[in-house]
Amino acid sequence: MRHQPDILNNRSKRLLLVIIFFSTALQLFLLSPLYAETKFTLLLTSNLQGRFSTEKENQDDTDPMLLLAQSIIKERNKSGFDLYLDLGNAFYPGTLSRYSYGSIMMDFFSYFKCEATLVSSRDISIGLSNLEFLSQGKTTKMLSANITKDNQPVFTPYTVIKHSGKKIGIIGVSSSDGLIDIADKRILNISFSEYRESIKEKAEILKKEGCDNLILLSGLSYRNNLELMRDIPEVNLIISGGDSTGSLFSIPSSRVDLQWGRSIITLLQNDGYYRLDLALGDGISVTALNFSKPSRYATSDPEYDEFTNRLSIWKDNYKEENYLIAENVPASVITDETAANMLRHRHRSEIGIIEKYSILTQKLSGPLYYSALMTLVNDDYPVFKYRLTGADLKKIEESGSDLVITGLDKGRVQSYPVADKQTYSICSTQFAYDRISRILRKHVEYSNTWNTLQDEIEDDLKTEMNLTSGNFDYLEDRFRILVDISLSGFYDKSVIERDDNIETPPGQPEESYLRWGMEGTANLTIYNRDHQLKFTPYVYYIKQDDEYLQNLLRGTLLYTYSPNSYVRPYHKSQIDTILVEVEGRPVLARETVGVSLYTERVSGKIGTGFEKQIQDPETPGVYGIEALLDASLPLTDVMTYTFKLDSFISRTRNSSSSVELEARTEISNALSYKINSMLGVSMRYKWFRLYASDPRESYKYSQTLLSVDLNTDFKLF
Amino acid sequence: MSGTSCIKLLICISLLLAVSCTTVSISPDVNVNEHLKAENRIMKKTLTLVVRENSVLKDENIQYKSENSGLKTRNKLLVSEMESLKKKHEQDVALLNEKYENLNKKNIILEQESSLKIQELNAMNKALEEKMTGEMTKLNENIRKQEETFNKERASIETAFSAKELEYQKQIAQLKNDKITVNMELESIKTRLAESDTNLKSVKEDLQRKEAFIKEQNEKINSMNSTVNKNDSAEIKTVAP
Repeated sequence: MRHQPDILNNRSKRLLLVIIFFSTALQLFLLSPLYAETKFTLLLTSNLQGRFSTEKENQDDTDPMLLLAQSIIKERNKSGFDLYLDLGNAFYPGTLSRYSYGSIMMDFFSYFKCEATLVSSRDISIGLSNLEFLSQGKTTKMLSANITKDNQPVFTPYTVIKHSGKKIGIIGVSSSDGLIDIADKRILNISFSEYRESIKEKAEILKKEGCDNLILLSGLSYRNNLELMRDIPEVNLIISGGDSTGSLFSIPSSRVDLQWGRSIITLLQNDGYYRLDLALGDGISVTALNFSKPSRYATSDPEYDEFTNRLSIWKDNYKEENYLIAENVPASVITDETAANMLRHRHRSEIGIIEKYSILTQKLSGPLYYSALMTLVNDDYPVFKYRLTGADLKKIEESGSDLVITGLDKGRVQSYPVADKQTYSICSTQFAYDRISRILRKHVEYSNTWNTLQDEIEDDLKTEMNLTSGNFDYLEDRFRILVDISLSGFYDKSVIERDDNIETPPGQPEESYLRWGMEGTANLTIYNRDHQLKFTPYVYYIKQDDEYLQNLLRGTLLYTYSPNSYVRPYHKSQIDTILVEVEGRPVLARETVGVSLYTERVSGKIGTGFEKQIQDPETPGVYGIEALLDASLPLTDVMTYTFKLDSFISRTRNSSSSVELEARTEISNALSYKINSMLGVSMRYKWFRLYASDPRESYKYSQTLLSVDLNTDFKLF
Repeated sequence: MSGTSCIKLLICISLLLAVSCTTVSISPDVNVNEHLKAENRIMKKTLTLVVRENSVLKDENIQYKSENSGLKTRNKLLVSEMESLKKKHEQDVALLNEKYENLNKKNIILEQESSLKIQELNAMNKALEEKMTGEMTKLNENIRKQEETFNKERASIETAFSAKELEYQKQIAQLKNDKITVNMELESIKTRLAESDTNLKSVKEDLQRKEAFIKEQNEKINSMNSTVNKNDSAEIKTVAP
């Protein structure tokens, strides 16, 4: 009993120690969320492009997507990760993925528990309505805050993840470089909304929902991402991939840390997966970013087995549907150029345009199956037909964009220099059309063939097989008809009413008069690369009351042969007469042959021939030399200066056997202002001189005109 | 046709041309047509997707159905196997129950037999225990007596040893004193030895000095002798002629 107090002391000491220990542990537990950082690991993929093989044999060892699936399972089993995200461009252009319209890729994401995938430009090639259909009822979310239908997001704009007591909001923003199929645009009214506003709005919603951290999955460029980081401070981390090239000042950069303790991560490689380790505190700090290439990993995962089974069925069905398109295709290499030329051939257009790499260059020969066509074509948008002016064509050629243009060679179409005002028939894919609209910054009216490039190629290979001909020179030999009409006129009616005795005020007309006039010309040109036939009726008519001030009707038929681009022989027949007969109808005919010279702005003709008045009265023919010069100089976009010279110098012997020289020269200067594509105002100065040496006499006439012009330009085919 | 009417006709044509050019627009029919074509394209694409997906799901369904029917057949087989096993089991149970009852009976008989045996053995055990207790008492008594004897012997031996110890201690003390005395004598001898050694050294030194002196004197004597000898010889030579 003497030891009893000691025992009590020991017990009380132990109790005290236990109380201190538990109270400290409780304090640490309660305070830990405020100070401790939570580890958060992401598995990321980007630009997978639906790279499934089409072969079933040994697919576990050879199919790149199955190897990736095995690696994902391995990562999950061995190291573990919290979330799997994809940065887009996963559905296109892989053959099997295209065949399944993205269904197999969506299954891949669902089976391997991808939380979300960003909708990117190449994904849109599958068709937005199809993507929308695929996303229904799937565990994997398709993220995009800025693809909208009637101002409402088409896809899920964001998703919220709960991890270790924290809420993490993930927003998706797609690159507006993506091209929405014209059908989706028309029917579903789908467009890209302004991404900054969309993200701001979603970030505010997520903060209100109590999200501690925000991650942005972005398909935008570094520049745009940096601007977003500056403008939207709620975003803690941007993970960029898919459409993003990841180049900062042309240097590929996988990670940029900003001064606000935030980072931009870019996934540069697409042949594997990234592991991103993050520490979640007040913000998000990046601990590590590692890339791994997929490798073979034997797994008995039931999800993997189920997916492999489904993939095998897709592959079987693809093989079954692989019908024969053409039995015997001659050996030929198919390129972007040949495809663009084929479009020119099929749609009789002067120029064919497609985007670079729309065709994956391949050599075809022997029997051709549908599967070969699937791997050949990399563009599923419809083909458009439209017209562009020469000026537009020059802009496109100068822009240096990734477009393959056929039919336009060094500023010449069918060996003729591109004329700014003339329109040219174009055939292109929607992708190329969209690029052209952006370059020209205007909407160009088009007609849709509703056939894709693949449809066109398939149809061609089934019928004409032009694609395999390799030589498309014959396209330059096609005849085209161009109608160019130019009309200008004026009308002046003065009515004087006066009593008998009143005097005319100074400067006012004495009598009523009516004066009106018109000048009209129409060019009907039939041409191809080597030949050009131009018929030009011309009327110049001015009448004041009963007096004809001008009364000219001229018809010109000009044939030009084009052995090369600069010097071309020609033959011209011209007949001048009067429009309204006044005491007979004199007719003057001129026949000349010569050579034309062409440059970009100036064209000239020099030839020899004869002139003869064949009626009222008939006179002997005179032989001479003809010189013609046409120049056009655009001063601004709407103002143009034109110069025309028409001269004929003849030499004859008169009755007294002396040599008589006669020169007829007509010069026209005009300054035109274009109001719209058809209407314009011009100020013209015309000068005419007829000079005869024996007796030395001359006739001169000059005229200044201010007129409203109507210019039209039709290309019939 | 007169010139004026020809001009008027030309003007009319021009105006018509201008009007027709400026009023080119897409008619509603064209729009509807395009809209239908667009809808057709979307439907076609979606339909192809649905048809193909449906075909895959159908195939998958067929696979699962065939797997399912296989499993059902196997299930039936297993059920019949189970029933036969059940019957066999029931028969076995009945047999075992019979065996159990027989064993129970045997057990009861054995239990009865064993209880008699136990009683016998208990009696034997008791007798043995009693016998052993008697023997143990005797042995304990003997041990006690022997211990007492041993204790007495030990006490006498201890007394004798203590006397001897005292004596030896005295002897040791005496020897120790002797040793001290001898040591002191040894020390004094050592001291004296050291002194005589010192003396010896000084004597040795004196001796060496004296030897050196003698040697020096000898050398002097020798030199003087030689000088004397030389002088003597010179004198002889001088005297000789």
